[in-house]
Amino acid sequence: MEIPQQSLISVTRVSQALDLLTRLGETATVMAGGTWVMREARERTFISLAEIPDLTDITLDDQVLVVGAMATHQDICNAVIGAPDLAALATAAGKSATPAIRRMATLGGNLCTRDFHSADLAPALLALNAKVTLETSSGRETLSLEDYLNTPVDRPHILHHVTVPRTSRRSAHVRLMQRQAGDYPLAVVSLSAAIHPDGTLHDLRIAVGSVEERARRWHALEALCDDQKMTSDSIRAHAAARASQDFVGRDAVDGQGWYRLRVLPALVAQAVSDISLTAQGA
Amino acid sequence: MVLTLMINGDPVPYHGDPRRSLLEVLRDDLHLTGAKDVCGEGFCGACIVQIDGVPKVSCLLPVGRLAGAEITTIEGVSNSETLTAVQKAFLEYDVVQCGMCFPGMVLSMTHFMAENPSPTRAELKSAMTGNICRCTGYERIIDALLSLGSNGLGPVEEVRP
Repeated sequence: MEIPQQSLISVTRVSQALDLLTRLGETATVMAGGTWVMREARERTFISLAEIPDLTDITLDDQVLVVGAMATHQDICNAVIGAPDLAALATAAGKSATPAIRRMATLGGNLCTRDFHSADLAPALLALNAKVTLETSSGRETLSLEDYLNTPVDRPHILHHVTVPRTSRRSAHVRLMQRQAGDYPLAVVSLSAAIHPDGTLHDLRIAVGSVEERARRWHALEALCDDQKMTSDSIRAHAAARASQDFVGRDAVDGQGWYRLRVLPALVAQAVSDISLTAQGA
Repeated sequence: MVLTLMINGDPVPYHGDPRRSLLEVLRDDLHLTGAKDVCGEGFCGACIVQIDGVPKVSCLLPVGRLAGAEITTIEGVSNSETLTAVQKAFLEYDVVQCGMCFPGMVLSMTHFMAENPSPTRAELKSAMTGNICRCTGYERIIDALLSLGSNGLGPVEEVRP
């Protein structure tokens, strides 16, 4: 493929994007919704994925949710709203940023922009046990979102879609901001679990976003609380005991690291309260 | 790159870097200064225009992705003889103060009211996220929008949270 001599190249196939990424290296960047690259990478060649068919597709059935990388936050919210197991994702997609940004910013951009530390979709999808499917020059690869976020894939790749298994569980996504809306969250907790009638949380998954540079699971807290009867007060106490051991808060202009850690227990407690209320049909 | 932008119903040829933002092209090249250059990061909404009828922040839209799209700026929502229902309500309720948020507010709220003709006060506040009014005139803006009523037939019932 001959490389066009222009600074924004629209491709129609993933293979074209991979070819350009390989040839242009650091001088190029993938453009999805554009909400980050237009702020941070204007000197690079944009490789726009907007004209690749299928990347905006979303399919939802009883077994699985599949979201194409170019689906916007608004698309995702519209697709999953009302599904109790996917409530965390609906909130993350429907409350992040602003309405205008949610119509532009994509799933792929949210997960692949490593310099953006306040992604909402990342913790929500971690709590929902999502897998990512990548296209690389050696073929298609599927790995857990957790592995993808923890270990950067250095070779050229395009995130093609994300798969979320549907299960009979509840989920919640709680975010703290300085204002009610329109800011980046200072801290985010996404949580999902199956709730037994006696209040026991089973297969508990907790993810924390915005506190460190990348969203990640809170495995230590999960181990303490899984298969236990948990109220919002009891899990708050466990979270308070663990927070400073398990996270190093990120200092940034919107908030100090110590504060992000300080609020985590309250967010976890709120998330447990939210899933308990939905389980009771509230 | 050479492309044709369709702005307020008129074809406009563009020659230049396709990575330039639509906002830059509107203001600096075409002197359509209704969209305001404020935060440059998509937060404030002062630069909002409609792309194919949908409000988006023009500061984060590269012009190279807009060939074939219908771009509507505040200059194109009405002519000098008429005002839209939202503009009339804003005028009647005297909502315009410094004017920086006003164009984006009109373009955002016109779309929202078309999709939600009988909103509650809380829904309007949620929809206005991303249109920052630094004069803090939100309540009058909301009053104006609520006055439009369902399909413009009369005031809707206000439901305060």
